[in-house]
Amino acid sequence: MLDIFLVSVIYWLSLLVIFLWLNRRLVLLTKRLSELEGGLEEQKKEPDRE
Amino acid sequence: MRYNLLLFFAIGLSVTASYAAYITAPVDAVTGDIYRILYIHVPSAWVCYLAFSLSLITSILFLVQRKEVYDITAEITAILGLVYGAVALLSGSIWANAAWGSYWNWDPRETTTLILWIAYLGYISIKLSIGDIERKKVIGAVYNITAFLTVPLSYLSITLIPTLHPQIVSITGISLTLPMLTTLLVSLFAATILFVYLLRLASTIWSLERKVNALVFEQGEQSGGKENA
Repeated sequence: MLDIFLVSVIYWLSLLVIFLWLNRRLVLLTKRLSELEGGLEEQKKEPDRE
Repeated sequence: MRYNLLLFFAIGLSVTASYAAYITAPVDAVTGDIYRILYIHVPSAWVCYLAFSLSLITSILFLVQRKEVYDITAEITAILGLVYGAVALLSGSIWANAAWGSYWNWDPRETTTLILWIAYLGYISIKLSIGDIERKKVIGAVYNITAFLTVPLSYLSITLIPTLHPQIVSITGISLTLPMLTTLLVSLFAATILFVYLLRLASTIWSLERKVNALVFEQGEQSGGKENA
């Protein structure tokens, strides 16, 4: 039974690692995208002020 | 929202498959409980073959149409295929130790699957090591198509070469009872849905990366334009 448990741990741990890695990248990219969009809007407003 | 639904569906199906595999599926008369590794080993190997087949199709499409999306999909599917392949190899060797008394026996299936895994590791190495972006894409796609030859080699190794590896489906019929086969089919379906979810998540990340790169470029252009003015 220990072998079966070990195989289950390997399978689910591998999938969990991929899932967490992809999710972390998704969160970071979403954050970066909103920062960039905010920065771009400010850049567009600046010439109007000048 | 659709992603979350797919994830919940995949998790629900996986829980059902695990319950069936460890609780309700009957004990095998010959190998006992150890055969239950099959419910993880076979779906992992199936998803590995599926991922590499998708990688082959998208690599061919890239060479024909030269669209970046195909190159990226080929790379994502190859990475996912490598992970599932590693699980198939590890679970197979744990089963081999219990059934044959040794983790590694240089059995035709073990050896050809290891060759397949190393071949796709080579593909990722190519994608990481070539600096020229266009060359990297073309060489990667050509290499990927060649590497796919190892997939039928691994799959057919148990029918072409004398082997110790058990055959679930053979000319003589299916070597599983109906409850075992049903559990295996549910496990295969659950693993496929999970793979589809991971593939979609990776594709979303790729399109976000493209958007971020485009915005960084646009910002650079604007600040460069101001400096020149």
